[in-house]
Amino acid sequence: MVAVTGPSGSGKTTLLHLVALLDRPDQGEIFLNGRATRELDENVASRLRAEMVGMVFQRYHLLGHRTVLENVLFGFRYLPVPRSEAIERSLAALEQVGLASLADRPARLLSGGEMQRVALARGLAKQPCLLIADEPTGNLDAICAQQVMGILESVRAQGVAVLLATHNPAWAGRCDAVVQLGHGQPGAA
Amino acid sequence: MNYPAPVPPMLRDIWESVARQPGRSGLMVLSVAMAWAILGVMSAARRGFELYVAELVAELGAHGAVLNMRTDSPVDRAFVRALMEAAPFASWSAIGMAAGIRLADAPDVKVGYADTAWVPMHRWVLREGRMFDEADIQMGGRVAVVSEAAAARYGWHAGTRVRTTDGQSLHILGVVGSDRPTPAELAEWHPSRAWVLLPAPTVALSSERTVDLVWLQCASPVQLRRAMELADRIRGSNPAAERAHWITADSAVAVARVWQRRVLRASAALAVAALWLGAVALGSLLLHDIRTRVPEIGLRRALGATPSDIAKLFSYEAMTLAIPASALGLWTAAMIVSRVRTWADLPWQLEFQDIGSLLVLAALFSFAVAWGPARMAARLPPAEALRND
Repeated sequence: MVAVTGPSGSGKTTLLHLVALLDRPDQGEIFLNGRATRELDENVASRLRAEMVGMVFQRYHLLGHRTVLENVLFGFRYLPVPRSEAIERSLAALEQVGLASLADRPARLLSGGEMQRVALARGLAKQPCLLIADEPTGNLDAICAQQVMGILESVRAQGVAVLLATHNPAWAGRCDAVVQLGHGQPGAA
Repeated sequence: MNYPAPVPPMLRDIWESVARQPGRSGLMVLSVAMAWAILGVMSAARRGFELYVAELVAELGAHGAVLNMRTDSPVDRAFVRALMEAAPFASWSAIGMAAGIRLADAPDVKVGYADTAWVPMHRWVLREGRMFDEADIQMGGRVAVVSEAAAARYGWHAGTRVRTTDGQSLHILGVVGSDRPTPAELAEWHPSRAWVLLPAPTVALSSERTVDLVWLQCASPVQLRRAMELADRIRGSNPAAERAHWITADSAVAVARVWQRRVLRASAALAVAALWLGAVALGSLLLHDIRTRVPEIGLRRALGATPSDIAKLFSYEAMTLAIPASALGLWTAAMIVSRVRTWADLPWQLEFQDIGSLLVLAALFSFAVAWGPARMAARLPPAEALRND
């Protein structure tokens, strides 16, 4: 579990997008699971992202009119996973984040903390190698943020790499490594 | 636990997009439906005019003509008798619409007066019973022959009695059909015309009933020209017949072609306007949809959607809206065509192959309109789209 920290505008989100193959670096190379990605075709990059990377955003990016379960299932939208298996894995992910009882509820009716846990479940349900979380606690109160961090730590315990962008030194301190960004330049701490 | 309905994800995406902006979607559906309704009517009219021309030519024959007396002309039967006496080498027959008579139980059946020469001149054949004769005419009997379409529709036979709206009783003497070979669509249309013919004293009696059409058949083109010249001389001395005019196969075809061009040009102009409106409505619907869904596009890309998946999403959305809208338009066209067949008695026909072609055209139209917006959505940089919240 690696934390990326730095002041606003230092490039934390950009770095995360580069790792998630959502953006291309001007220089240098990104290796995903040992594979160089800079010259990858857009379709191959999309497939790799679908299969290997789970993403969680500060502003959740849920589909408010869909239910909690449908939002988690949406994570499989571009994966060739049978529907029954996708439902099974989505329910398991909701169980993991403690929201299985709210599976039928429309996402717009959830609290901020619950929304972020649904987003986490969506990222986790497809069992990615790498979970990228862009300031997942940025909009949450302390208790909800604590819950989210607890889930991220449990994910780490399952062997999933977690790349976490955060402003909070306390959360960064709970990670295995910290990358400090300043003016776009990384420095390990 | 209610599991999500097993709706294909693409349909779900499209439905949500439509439900998000019902006003724009409705306008788009309306304008596209209107365009395809006009295109459908155009297609039916094009075919219909061809059939109409074929019908006219078949009715008039190579050596036939019709003197159209116009229904409001006060020409009496004496004029017809004079025509017959002037050119006895030709076959003459007259028919008029019975505007004042309606059948009580068959309001859609047309009622007309004809003379005894009418049925053989048009090569119709008796299916049952007999044709009325001079004796029936002289007796002024309330008798009739009916078309097989009317007989089939109302279960009439020779011997059946039908009532008119003024309480009179008509005795059906015979049922008449046509064995003339015609194009398939025309054969389907032609017997569908339901009519009842009452005996008309063409030559003998009565000036109460005006003549609508006088039919002329000759054995050769030379005879036809001669009969028409003789008839014109009589017309010249009869001011009441001034408004009458000849319809020959050539003139009927020419008139039909003029109307065909007018109808097709007018409907083409309307269709182009409606298509333009539909294209603008569909394009603006998609552009608005894309603008409001930028973060969702970013999310989809983050979940593994390729640029072509995003382009497909919006292209399919356009097609899913435009094709049912076009089908609705074609259904409307079919209704209009059906009314035209009934009210104007024109053999307009919307063929399945035309419907298929127009639906393919609808798919191509929606694809062409959606191409630009869909490409724009597909080219959105995912990282920027995700930040756009």
